[in-house]
Amino acid sequence: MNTWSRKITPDMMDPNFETTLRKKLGEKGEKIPLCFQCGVCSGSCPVAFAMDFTPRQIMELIKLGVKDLVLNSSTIWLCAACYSCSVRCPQGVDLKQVMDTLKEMALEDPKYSVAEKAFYEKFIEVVRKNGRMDEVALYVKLMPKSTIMRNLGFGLKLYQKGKIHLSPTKSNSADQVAKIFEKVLAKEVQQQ
Amino acid sequence: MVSSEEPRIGVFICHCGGNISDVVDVEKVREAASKMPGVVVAETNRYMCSKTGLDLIKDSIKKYGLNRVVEASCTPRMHLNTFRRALVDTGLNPYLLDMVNIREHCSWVHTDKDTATEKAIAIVRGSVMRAHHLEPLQPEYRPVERSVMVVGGGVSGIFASLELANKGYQVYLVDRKPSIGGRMMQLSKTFPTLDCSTCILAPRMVEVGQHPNVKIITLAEPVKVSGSPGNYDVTLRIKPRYVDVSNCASCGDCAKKCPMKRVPNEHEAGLAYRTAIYLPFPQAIPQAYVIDPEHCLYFQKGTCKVCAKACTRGAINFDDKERLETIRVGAIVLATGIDVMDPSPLKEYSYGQHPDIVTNLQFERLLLQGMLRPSDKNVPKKVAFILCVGSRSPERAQAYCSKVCCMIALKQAFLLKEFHAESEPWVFYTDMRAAGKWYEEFYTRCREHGVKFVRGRVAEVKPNGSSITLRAEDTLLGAQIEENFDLVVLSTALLPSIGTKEVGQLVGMDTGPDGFLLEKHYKLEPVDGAWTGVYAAGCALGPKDVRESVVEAMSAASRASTFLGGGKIEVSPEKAFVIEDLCDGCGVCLQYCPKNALSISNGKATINPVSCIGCGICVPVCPKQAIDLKHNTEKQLLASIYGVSQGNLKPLIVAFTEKVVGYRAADMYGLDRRKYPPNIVIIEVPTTRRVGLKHVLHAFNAGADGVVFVEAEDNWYGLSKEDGLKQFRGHVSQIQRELRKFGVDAARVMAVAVTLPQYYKLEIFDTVVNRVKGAKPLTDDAKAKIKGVLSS
Ligand SMILES: Cc1cc2nc3c(=O)[nH]c(=O)nc-3n(C[C@H](O)[C@H](O)[C@H](O)COP(=O)(O)OP(=O)(O)OC[C@H]3O[C@@H](n4cnc5c(N)ncnc54)[C@H](O)[C@@H]3O)c2cc1C
Ligand code: SF4
Ligand code: SF4
Ligand code: SF4
Repeated sequence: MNTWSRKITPDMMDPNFETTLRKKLGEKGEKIPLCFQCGVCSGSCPVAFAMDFTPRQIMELIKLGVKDLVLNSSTIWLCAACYSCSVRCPQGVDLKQVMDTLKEMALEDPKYSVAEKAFYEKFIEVVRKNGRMDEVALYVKLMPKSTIMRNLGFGLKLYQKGKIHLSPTKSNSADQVAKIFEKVLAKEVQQQ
Repeated sequence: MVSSEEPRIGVFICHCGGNISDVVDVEKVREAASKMPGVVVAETNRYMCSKTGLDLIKDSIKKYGLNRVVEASCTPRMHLNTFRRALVDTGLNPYLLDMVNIREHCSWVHTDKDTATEKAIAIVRGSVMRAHHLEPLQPEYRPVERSVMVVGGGVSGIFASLELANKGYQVYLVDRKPSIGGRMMQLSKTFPTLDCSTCILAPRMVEVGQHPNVKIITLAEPVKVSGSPGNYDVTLRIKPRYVDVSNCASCGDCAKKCPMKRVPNEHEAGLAYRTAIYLPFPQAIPQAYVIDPEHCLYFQKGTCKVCAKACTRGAINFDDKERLETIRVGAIVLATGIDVMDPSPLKEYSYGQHPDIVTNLQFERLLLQGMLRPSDKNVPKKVAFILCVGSRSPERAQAYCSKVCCMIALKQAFLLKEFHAESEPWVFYTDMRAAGKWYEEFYTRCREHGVKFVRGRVAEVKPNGSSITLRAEDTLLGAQIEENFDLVVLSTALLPSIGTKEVGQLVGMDTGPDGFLLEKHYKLEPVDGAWTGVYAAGCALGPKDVRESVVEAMSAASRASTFLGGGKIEVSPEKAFVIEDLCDGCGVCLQYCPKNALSISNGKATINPVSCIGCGICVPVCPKQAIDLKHNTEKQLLASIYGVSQGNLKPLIVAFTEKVVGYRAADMYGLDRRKYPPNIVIIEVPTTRRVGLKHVLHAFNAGADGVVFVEAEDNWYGLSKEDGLKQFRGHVSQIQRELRKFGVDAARVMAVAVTLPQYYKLEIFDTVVNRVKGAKPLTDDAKAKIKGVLSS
């Protein structure tokens, strides 16, 4: 969760932020300035309750150029890519696409370190390695040692009930999944 | 006679306070002009239209004995009459003036100073050459019909009719519904003063119904309009009512017997039923029942007629037939009003999925029916009003703001609270638009009254058992809000009435991208149509409230009476004439005239000057060149062509531009400061079909490299748009085919059709220039061939 002082100061502004984002979005970016803050996107969003900024607020921050608040928000990582906002926006803003592009921008810069980003990154790492989700592996990657030690007892109980496994669970098609990752990465490199 | 005198031409070039002189070097133009043949004096001024400028013209006319004037300034659509008056003041005939548009067609559309100046010189030269051949002409006058047809009997139509009738004009008030009254008769009370809608309108309906100068024609709509300003012939299609209006006592005995009792009632916006024979509503004018054949058992199944038996006065007539009636009127006012959008395509609002999700129009009826929920007839406690449903949604529905729905919702929330003090109205708005006299004050009253406001456009409306769940973002909090309501009111977009475009087309009025009628000038001619004697008022021009509708209705009435008041109309003398010595009476021209103005008598073609509209289509088709057109004579046109085609602009493309729409589209292009290459020079013609192969050959002979025809897309003198376009395209491709015989690449000739709202289609000028640049070269051989044909 992002905490901020509820005051926007000059040092938080990046006057080129909207332009950069629009460039990355190509034709779709042209709609960004049309947003008139109606809130249909946020009203439609199934995850808005958990976000630090609602999708509409992200649009406002983009237009003001408050880059750091946007790229360090939980919103962009929590977006479920359901497209509800994009379908209903009266101005044709493809907000789901905006969220994706913002994620890319946040990934490029390690200074954006909101917890949801770390989760996102680790999650991908685990899936890439195991070909599927592995709760234990993800937990170990995300949590500090002390926390893990503190929760050992609970973990044991879960293990006894068969809810988690201790040995890494690898999918049978892990190498195929890995190949998919490679392909996508290669494509991305190519695009850049 | 002036035409036989040696031409003494004065050229007056305007700076337009920088509008022209910032781009065009007017001094250079003046210098060039002063050396042109026949020019005695050339002057510049900061504002030629100012008193100083006009005095300069008048003094020069006297001082130099000028007999022709060339005025290089803004578009003639702006100041033609100003400058003509200057000639008249000094005793010169106004037709001895020629205007060159170096603003809209030059300084505003070009950026490079050198080439823009070069072009300005070229078009001034065209004008000077044309001026050599100008002849004095006298306008004619024709009497006008002192009557007006008002189409649409809503509050706008009613007020326009009363105003005109009281001034003594005969008025035909036409409505396609069985009663006049329009939307207002469906409303409860009207914001911001909350007077009862029917109580304020019904007396006016009675007044207009009883006025000796008004004839109300219901169940009727115009299907054809012909004639000309001051004398329009409007053909109405009148549907059968099956009830004799003068005989019906509106006792209702018929309806009591009618077996068809569950016909959705339009007046109640579908929230109640009526019979197949019915009175539209208690205050209907005319006060007479009407049969709706679509639901009448007799018309559907062939037997019934119980109503006819019930009617003791014998007022019902099942043999009534649809008929056409043509009425001659001097002017026409369109007041066709609005429809309410059907919100069901916007799935997120679940309209139609739950009886308690209604439109704002339906809510008006609920207020009048006792303010109960449609589903269970209980008193609704929590009621949500959702704004901007279908409005301000360029990607989903209408792009425009429907202007009055904020106020409608405020009024409805207020009235609900008044009706049921314990109710809880919530208004979900995008931006609260309460700008108008006493509107903000009304908004304040609503807050005082306990109406809740949430700033956020509702994202989702979901039926939830007997209640309805809404989801929105309260954008001021940045939090989602989910609430259950007993009734949901959608403040839906207001659309132009079905058929607005069609009825507009009958009288030459375009519709804008929003579908509403387009006024002649947004600011300065807000109720005028493109044709003289055609006006519009009220919601037909865009959504608005009652007060504004009435203001427009009165303006339209005033404009119509100003037009008709003189009793006569000036008719342009710019008409075709036959040169009898050349005409051999072959009659070829007859088949081309769109107005049947030509006939053969005594072996010669003759032209009826009253019908002739001066389109000039007959001129190039005459094999003997025996027809010519006043103020656009062969000599004048060729002089323009040769004038503009000299000089250094390369490639040079002559744009023969239709004068009503094409020319104004080019003006609007300039007004918008869009750009095209200076290689395009515009020559105004009455229609592009005034220009034949001969003129195109002359253009090439004079040094032009290409030709483009700019025509009005839907101004075909009575032809349908499709047929008109077909003829236009045919005319141009015929010229292209002929040119190939001379070895001229067809790419050098292009055609474009525009409408005023689509003036931006002239961006094709860029393509035209590129195509001409890329065309196969004009060989010396081709040029020689052209010269040969022209000299023979
Ligand atoms: C739900 C609702 C609530 C409103 N509340 C208020 C309010 O409280 N206060 C306020 O000031 N304004 C209010 N308005 C706006 C008001 O209704 C309009 O300003 C007004 O009705 C416009 O009048 P009009 O005559 O221009 O059009 P209309 O009332 O729409 O009348 C047009 C007439 O033309 C006829 N017609 C259409 N096409 C043709 C044709 N081709 N041939 C022949 N006849 C034709 C129609 O049958 C109709 O009778 C409200 C509107 C709505 C929808
Ligand atoms: S729905 Fe579209 S216009 Fe409305 S706030 Fe969201 S992005 Fe902006
Ligand atoms: S009037 Fe109000 S509700 Fe209607 S479209 Fe405009 S802003 Fe939306
Ligand atoms: S100018 Fe047009 S209307 Fe007049 S006679 Fe010729 S074709 Fe007919």
